[in-house]
Amino acid sequence: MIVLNNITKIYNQKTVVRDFSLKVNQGEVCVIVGPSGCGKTTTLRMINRMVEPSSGDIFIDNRDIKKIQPDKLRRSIGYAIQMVGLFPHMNVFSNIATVPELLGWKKDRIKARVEELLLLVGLKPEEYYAKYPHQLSGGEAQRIGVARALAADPAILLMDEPFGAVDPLNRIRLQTQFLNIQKRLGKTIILVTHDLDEAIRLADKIAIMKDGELVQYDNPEELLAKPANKFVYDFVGSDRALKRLSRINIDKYIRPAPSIKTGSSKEHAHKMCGPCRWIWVVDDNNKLKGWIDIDILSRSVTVMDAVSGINPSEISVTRNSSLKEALSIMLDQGLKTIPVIDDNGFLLGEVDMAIIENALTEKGR
Amino acid sequence: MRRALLKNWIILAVIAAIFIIVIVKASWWETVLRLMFPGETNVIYPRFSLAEMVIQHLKLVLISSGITIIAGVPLGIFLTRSSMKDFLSLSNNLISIGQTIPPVAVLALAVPVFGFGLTSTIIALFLYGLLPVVSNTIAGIRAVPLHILDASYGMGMSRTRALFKIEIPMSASVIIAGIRISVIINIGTAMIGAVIGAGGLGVPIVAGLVQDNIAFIIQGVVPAAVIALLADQVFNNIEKIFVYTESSF
Repeated sequence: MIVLNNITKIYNQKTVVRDFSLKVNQGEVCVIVGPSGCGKTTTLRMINRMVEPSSGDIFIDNRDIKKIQPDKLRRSIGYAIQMVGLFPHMNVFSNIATVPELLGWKKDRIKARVEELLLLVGLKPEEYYAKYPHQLSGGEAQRIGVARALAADPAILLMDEPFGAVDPLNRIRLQTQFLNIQKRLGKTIILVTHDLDEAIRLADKIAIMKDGELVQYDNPEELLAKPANKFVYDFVGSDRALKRLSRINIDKYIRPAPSIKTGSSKEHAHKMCGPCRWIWVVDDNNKLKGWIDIDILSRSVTVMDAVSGINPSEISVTRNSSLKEALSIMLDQGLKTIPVIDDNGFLLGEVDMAIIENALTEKGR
Repeated sequence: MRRALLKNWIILAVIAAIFIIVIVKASWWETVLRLMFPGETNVIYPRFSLAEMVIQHLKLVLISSGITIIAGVPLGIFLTRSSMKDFLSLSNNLISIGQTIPPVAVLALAVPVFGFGLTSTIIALFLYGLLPVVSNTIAGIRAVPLHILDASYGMGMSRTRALFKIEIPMSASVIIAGIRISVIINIGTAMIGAVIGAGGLGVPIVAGLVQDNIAFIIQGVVPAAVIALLADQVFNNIEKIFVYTESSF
């Protein structure tokens, strides 16, 4: 648990952080977000004593960090920065091994740990050990940076715009990976970003900062539903309904969908469909093939002929998706209902526009 | 890359070996110089053999450059420490001024104190060669990106450890480039040793100038030039070991 009590930082008579208090529970991801120059990075850096507060106290697991020697404190806290800061003259192995070496670990233990970490961030150890930072892509460097921060298995991780320098596509990939890793490791993480979408995606709690002050500290749903003031309202933007949808996982909202097999007879299809105008089609393994329109079916010889030729992956979402992604596909494809499939393409059910509307109002007030 | 480097070293060793053989073979020099200057009665400088003068010259260079490196690199590093921030530009200027004083002037000042010979020459060479070493050390260390230092301190490295593990290795190629410039300047400047009796390849040059004997001058100039080129290549090869391309992050 990390507690910041009335932290103030003054640089050259300018107050950068003012009376800032925050409590982050064990295993929580707290994202500090705000416009540039709002003091979020300074706040983060006070937690590992890279910056000393002018007044106020910081406690980690009830220990006053002022009483811990800075180097020792820092070795117990993972630290990842936007620029990554991989050491260009050291290979990937030595980079990751930095903190374990500082802590004096035995060679075999370091080797095992580096291997474990590379696998954790999804890189093949044998392939990456000997590479130098300049041989890595931005995304790879970023992942090695995270692996390095996790090297000594710290309970706390401080991250300053860790995905800031990566292209949007890779950023989403890294964020997803981050969430998966966090699900397994359950670290206490404080992450700083100026990107609200990133905050909403990653955070258990969001702290919004403005001019060195904490404006609102809440979980993302609450923050989007009830902005504390005009600043937060403007900051979350007019699309906060969409942002809220991005926090809602589709899993709970899937309803069973009627479907027929590709080998079914026309009569069976008509019977299954009943009053509706169309129905999903799956193959013998329950894998989604498309849908058929009953009107078209009447004019075709077999069920197979009537299946619309569209690629199923373009009109479906997986069960890990958010309602925002579902809505986006609906709007994109002009559909009112879309199928939900699992990772193997098997049909799980469907969601429609009405479900999304309900989810939003139910989560709203 | 390592293999290419090894090849460079082998080529260098072969050239150096040829150079040594040529220096030792006085008869070869006599044949060639006689052909070039048929009118001259004496084509080989008589008082010392060429090998002796090369060794004297190398001794001057090695001692003075050695002192320059031993003093210059730590001085440069010391000046980049955060406690010295306020003195950095002042000391940089002082060292630059040292470079503007011609070594002959330093000799003139040193001789009354340390007398004729080796000591005075080495002091003059040392002061003259200090600037490139110190200023390159400062430049190299200051070129270490701040975010890299931030990362190393943030992970719990002490200042000393970050200096030896991060700052020095990362600036090594720039520091060695400074040493290279200093040594090469030194090889040329060490000629002045002849003026106050410290020997070296300046001896035949001075004699040649006085006696209007170009053959003597060539015996001083050519070996010195070859030594300078060889030294340049040696440091070039060492520099390459420490070149790391920094990633865009």
